Amino acid sequence: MQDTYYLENGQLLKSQTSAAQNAIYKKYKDALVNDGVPIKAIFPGRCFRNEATDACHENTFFQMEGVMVDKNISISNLIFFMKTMLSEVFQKDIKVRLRPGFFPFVEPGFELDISCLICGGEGCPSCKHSGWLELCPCGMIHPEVLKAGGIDPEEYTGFAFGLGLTRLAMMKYGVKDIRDLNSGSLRSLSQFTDDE
Amino acid sequence: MAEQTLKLKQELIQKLEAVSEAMQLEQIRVEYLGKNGLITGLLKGMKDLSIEEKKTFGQEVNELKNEAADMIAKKGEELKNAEILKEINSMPEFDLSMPAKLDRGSYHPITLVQRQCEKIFKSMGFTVEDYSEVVSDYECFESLNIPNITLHAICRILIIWKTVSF
Repeated sequence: MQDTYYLENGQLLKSQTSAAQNAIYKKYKDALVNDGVPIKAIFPGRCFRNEATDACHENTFFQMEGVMVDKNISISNLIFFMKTMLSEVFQKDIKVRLRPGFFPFVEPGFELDISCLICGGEGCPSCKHSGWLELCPCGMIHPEVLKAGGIDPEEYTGFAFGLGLTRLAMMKYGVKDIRDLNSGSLRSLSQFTDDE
Repeated sequence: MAEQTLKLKQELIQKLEAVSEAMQLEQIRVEYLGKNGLITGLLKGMKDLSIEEKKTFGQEVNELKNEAADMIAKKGEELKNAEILKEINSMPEFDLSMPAKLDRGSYHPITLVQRQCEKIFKSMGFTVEDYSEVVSDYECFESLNIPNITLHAICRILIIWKTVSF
């Protein structure tokens, strides 16, 4: 991949938090198979991409990956979890919709859109008058990926999503320029308070 | 003779009450308990007494001596405590239990959002995992069904394609 930072020893700085998926499957597959404990995990982390920076691109950003693997997991489970989480984060009822999208590690893959937070779905300049904002890629985990993690795709299914924490923070706090977040400027950072 | 000891004792008590400094106390100690002090002085008149009287009187004097020493030591301690108390009272007042006014800073917005998400997912039964930032090619691409097309691979394909087509 061209936008990945490679190290001299052939390893690389992870360009997506999905890189941890394989390790998670291997870690929990015994509990899943032997005891029937579903794999439910999130892994937030820093990702690196060799990109030119502008108002919405950074070379270092945060993602949060989430997976759930069990028998009879379907897309409705995915929608429920995403909707619950987003409604909690934004403190209001959020509508979500799925659009087909291609990602190699999910089949079928979706782009998850949420109803625009500013206009509430009626259409405004920030959502390009569509009423929807693109938020995160997600989908049902590809059988090959499950197989690589040592899980039988015939028996188990699962969903995965990759949430852009940086983008979520920008949307929640109304940060217009992504570069402000990594600038280390105390003047802008000290405005945020813990509202828990 | 018992009157003498009693008198001395009462005198001593009165004098001790009036004492307010360590120096004065030391003077009194020398006056009564010193080598030529009043209590030792009592013993000097003893030679005129009969053996019986000597016995009882000697006992009385010794008791007086011990009592006097005790009283003086007690007074000395009182004076010392009073001095410490005075020093404490003369210090400026601090309230160590008062909450400090610290500028505690704030969290980064991404940290806030991350913690919030973690909290929500934890409440839904998810575990929060941590993973290395340096990973292998296999973990980042191959295990995720992304074919590993590096520059080397592209060159190899091009070379093969060229050799075949010529």
